[in-house]
Amino acid sequence: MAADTEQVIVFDIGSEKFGIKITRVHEIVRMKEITELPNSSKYMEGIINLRGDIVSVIDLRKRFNLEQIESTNDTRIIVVEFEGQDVGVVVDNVSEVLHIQNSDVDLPPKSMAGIKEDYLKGIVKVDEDIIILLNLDNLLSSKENIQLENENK
Amino acid sequence: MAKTVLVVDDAQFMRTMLKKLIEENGYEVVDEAVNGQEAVEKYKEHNPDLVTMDITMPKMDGIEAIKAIMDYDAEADVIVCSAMGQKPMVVESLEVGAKDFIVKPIKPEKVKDSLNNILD
Amino acid sequence: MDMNDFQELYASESREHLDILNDSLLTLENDPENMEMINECFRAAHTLKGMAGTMGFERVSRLAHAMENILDLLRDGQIGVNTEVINLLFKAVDNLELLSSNPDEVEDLEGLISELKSFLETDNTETDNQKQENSTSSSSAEIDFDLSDDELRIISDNSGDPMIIRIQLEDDCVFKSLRADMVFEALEEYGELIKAHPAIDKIRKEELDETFHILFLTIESKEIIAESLDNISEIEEIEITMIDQLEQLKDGSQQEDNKEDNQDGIKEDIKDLEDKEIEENQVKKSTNVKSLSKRLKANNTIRVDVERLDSLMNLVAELVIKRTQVESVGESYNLDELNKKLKPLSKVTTELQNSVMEMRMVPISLVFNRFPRLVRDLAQDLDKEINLVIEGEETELDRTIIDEIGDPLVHMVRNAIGHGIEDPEERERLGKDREGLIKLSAFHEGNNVVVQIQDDGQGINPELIKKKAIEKGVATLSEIEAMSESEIIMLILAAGFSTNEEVNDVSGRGVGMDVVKTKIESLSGSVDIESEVGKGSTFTMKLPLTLSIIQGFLIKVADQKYVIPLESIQEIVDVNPDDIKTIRQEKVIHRRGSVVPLISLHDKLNKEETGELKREIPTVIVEVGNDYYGLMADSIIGQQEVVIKRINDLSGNLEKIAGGAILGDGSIALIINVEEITTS
Repeated sequence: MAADTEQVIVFDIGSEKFGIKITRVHEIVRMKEITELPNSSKYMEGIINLRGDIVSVIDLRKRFNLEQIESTNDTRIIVVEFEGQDVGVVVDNVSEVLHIQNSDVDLPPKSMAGIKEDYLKGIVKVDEDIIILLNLDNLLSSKENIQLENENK
Repeated sequence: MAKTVLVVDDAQFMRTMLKKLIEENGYEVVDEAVNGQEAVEKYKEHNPDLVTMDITMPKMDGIEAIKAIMDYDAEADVIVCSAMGQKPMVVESLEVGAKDFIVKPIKPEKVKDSLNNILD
Repeated sequence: MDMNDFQELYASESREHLDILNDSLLTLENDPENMEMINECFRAAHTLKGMAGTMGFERVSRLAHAMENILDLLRDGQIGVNTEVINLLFKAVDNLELLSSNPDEVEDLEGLISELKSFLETDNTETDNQKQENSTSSSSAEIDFDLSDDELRIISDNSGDPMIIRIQLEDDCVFKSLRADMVFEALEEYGELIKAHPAIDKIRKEELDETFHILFLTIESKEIIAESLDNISEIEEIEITMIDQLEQLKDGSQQEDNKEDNQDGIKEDIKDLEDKEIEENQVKKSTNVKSLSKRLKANNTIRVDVERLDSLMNLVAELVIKRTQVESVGESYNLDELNKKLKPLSKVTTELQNSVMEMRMVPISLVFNRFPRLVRDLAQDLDKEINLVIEGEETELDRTIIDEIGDPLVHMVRNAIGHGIEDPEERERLGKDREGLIKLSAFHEGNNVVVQIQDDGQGINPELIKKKAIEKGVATLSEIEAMSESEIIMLILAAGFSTNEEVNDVSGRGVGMDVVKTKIESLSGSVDIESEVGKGSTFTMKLPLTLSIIQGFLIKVADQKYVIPLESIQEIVDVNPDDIKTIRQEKVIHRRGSVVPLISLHDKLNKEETGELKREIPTVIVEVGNDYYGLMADSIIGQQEVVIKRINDLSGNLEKIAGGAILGDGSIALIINVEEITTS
C-alpha cells in the first residue's frame, strides 16, 4: 500500500494550492531575515543562515511574477533538497500534509494557472480543492519567465 | 609485566598487522621502526625482549640492523620477517644472530608460535 | 583477525608503492644505470607482494612477484634496462593499479604474467616442481642412510648412542631447508650429526618434503634432545628412535657416499651466499638518502579519514563563531573582566584553528606525481620529446584544493604538449632543442600558492585567437580591436572558446579552458596566461593556501555588511570628496604618485546611494594583479576572522560574491570577490 500513497506538503501561493512530496522536504522554518545578494533576481531571493549554514532561498511569489507582500506570521521557508544541496522556498503558508493515492493524481494539463506542463508533476483533487503538484527540479533549475495567473485578483 | 616487542618494517600495513598479532598474544609492542637505522636506535632506547625485523627496507636493511643490534646486545632476540624468495637473506640473518624467521604472507598461527617459542 | 580492518590501510599504502614504482621506472628509463632506482622498484614490488599476499589478493601478489623476479635480474645485471622491459614493467604497474581500482577491467593477466616470466631466461625451475620426485617415507625404521666406512667409524669411535630423529615440518612451511638448518645447528651443541636423509646438500636445495631424518650421535637423553628442538618454529612433530645395534646401521651401507655430502661443502655454499649478499648490500647502501628521508617522513604519520578532518575543521569553525559571539556580548555590555578572560581563549582558538589548517595541508607532490608518467605516455603517443621539470613539489596546500586542481592541471599540461611543444624535427628546424621543456612548478607568494605550467613551445598566436573568438561569437571585432595582446590571449579562457567538437584525445576530454578557469575560480583562485609566439607559454594559477577561514575587513554598504579579504587589502583611507578627480569619466584619486581608480560599491552591489554628502568616504585600497583600486564603502566596521561558506548560486550571476560569512550576531556578511568587482 505504501507504494501507491504519498505524503505531500500543501502550501499556498496567492490563491493557488501547491504540493510537493514530503520526501523532498528537509524542514520547514518560519520566515527569517533574508540577506540580499547583488543582482539577485526573481530566481534567487537571497540567502539565510540556517543554523550556521548558508542556504539559498527563492521566493515563489517572485518566481511566479506575483506582487510582493509583507511576510506574515504564516510565511514559511520550506527547505528542500535540490541537486544535493538545501534550497529554501518561501511560500505564503503551509496548510497541511496530505496522504494522496497515486491513482488520484491526474496527469498535468498543458498548462495550469499559467504554469507550463514542464513544471508540473500532476494535479490532484481533494474535496473542493485542486492541488498542483510541482516538479521542483525543473522549477528550480529553470530561468524561464513564469506568470502565475491569479484569477482571484 | 608483558614482554616487549619492537616491530620493524617499512610498510605500515605490515607493522599494523604484526602489532595486532603481537598484542593478541599478550605481548606489548613498545615501538615501531620503519628502517634498520631507526630499529637500532629504538632498540637502544627500549631494550625490548624481542624484535621483529623486516629485511628489505630503505636506509639500512634488516640484516645490517640485526648486526648492529647484536653488536650492542649479543643476547638480543630477533625474528626476521622475510618474503618468499628471500632465502639467502634469511640464511644470512640467521648467521648474524636472528633467532627465528617468519615468512610473508604472514600467518597468525606461525607468528604466534614464533613469538611463544622465543618469549615464553 | 578480520582482514577487512586492514583494507583501507592496504589501499592507501599500496597506492604509495605504486607511485614509487611509477616514479622509479621513469627515472630508470632515463638513467638505465641507476641501481638505486632498480632497488627502489624492487622494494616496492616486493612490499606490495607481501601486503597483497597477506590480504589474500592472490592476483596482485602474483603479478608483483613476477615483476620482482625481473627486477631481481635487472639488479644482478643479468638483463639490461631497455625500452622493452620498462614498457613491460609499466604495463604491470598499470595492471596492478587496475587490480586495486577496477579489477574487472584487467585483461589477460595470465598473459602478462607469462610475458614477464619469459624474461626470466635463466633456468629458474621452481623447486616445487621437483619436490614430488624426492618423496621420503615417514617411518624411521625404513630409512636407509647408506653409511660410509668413515661414518661408521665415527659412530663406533665416539662415545654416545646413535639415534634417528624424525622431524616433520608444518606442511605450509616455506623455507624447509632453513628449518632443517636450525635443527642441525641446535643438535650440534649436543653431539655429532652423522647424516641426514634426504642428504644435507639436497635439503639445502629445498629438495625435501615435510619430513626428514637425522642420524645423530649423542650422550644426552632423548628428552634433552627433543627439548633442544622444541623452540624451533614450524616443527609439527619430533620423533626420536634409539638405535641399539650398530649392525642395524651397517646393513645396506656398502655404497660410497658422495663427497659433496660433507659439511665442508655446505659451509662453502654458505660462504658463497654471503659473498653475494655482501655485494648486494653494498649496492643497497648507496641508496639516495634524500629521496628516502622524504618517504620516511610520510611513514611517521597516522592516516585520518578526510571526512573526520573536515568535521574537526567545521567544529573549529563553529568554535570561532561562538567565540566571536561571546566577544561581542562582552563588548556591548562593557564587561571588562569577561573581555580579559576571553583574550587567552581567543589565542587558543586561533592556534587550534591553525593546527587544524596545518593538518589539512598536503604537499602538491600528491598531484605533481602523476605527471612524469602522463607526460611520458603523451610524448610517446605524439612522437614528441619532452623534458619535464618539476619544482617546488613540497609546497603545501589545503587538501580540498589539492583534490580539485588535479584535472585542471592535467588539462593544461595536455594542452602544452598537444598544442605548445612542436615536433622534434620542427624544433630542430627552428634551432631549438629537440626536446621540448615543460616546467611544472609551485611556490608560495604571500598568502597564495602559485602553480605554473611553462613550456618552450610555439606560444599562442593572438591572430589565431582573434579569428577563432569572432568565429565562436566569444567577442566581436570591435571588442577585440580594443583589447591588448594579453587580453586577447586570455580569451581562450572564455566560455565557448574551446568546444567539444574540436577537442582531440590529447588536449582534453571535452573540457575547455573555460572549465579550468571556472574550477580555479571556484577555489578562490585565478588563472593568468603569458605567451610569446615562438618562445612558449606560461599558465599561472594563483590559489589560496587554504580555504574556509579568512581574515577580512568588515565594511558596510547601505544596509548590508560585506567582508573584503585581508590579503587583497593594501590600506584603508578616508577620501575627501574634493580630492576625487575625474579622468575619462572615471573617478580617481592620486595616491603615492599613482592614479587609483575609485569604485563605488553601491553601484557594484546594486545598493542605492543615500545621497547625503559625506565629508570623508571610507575607502579600502585593494591590490589586484599589479593594479590598485579604491573601494568606496559607507563605513568600516573592523578586522574580523570569518568562516567562508559557499553560496549555492541558483541565479547564476553571483560572480561578485565569493561566499558568505556568518557573523557573531547570526547575520550574514557577503564576501566580496575583489577581482570580479574591480574588473567587471
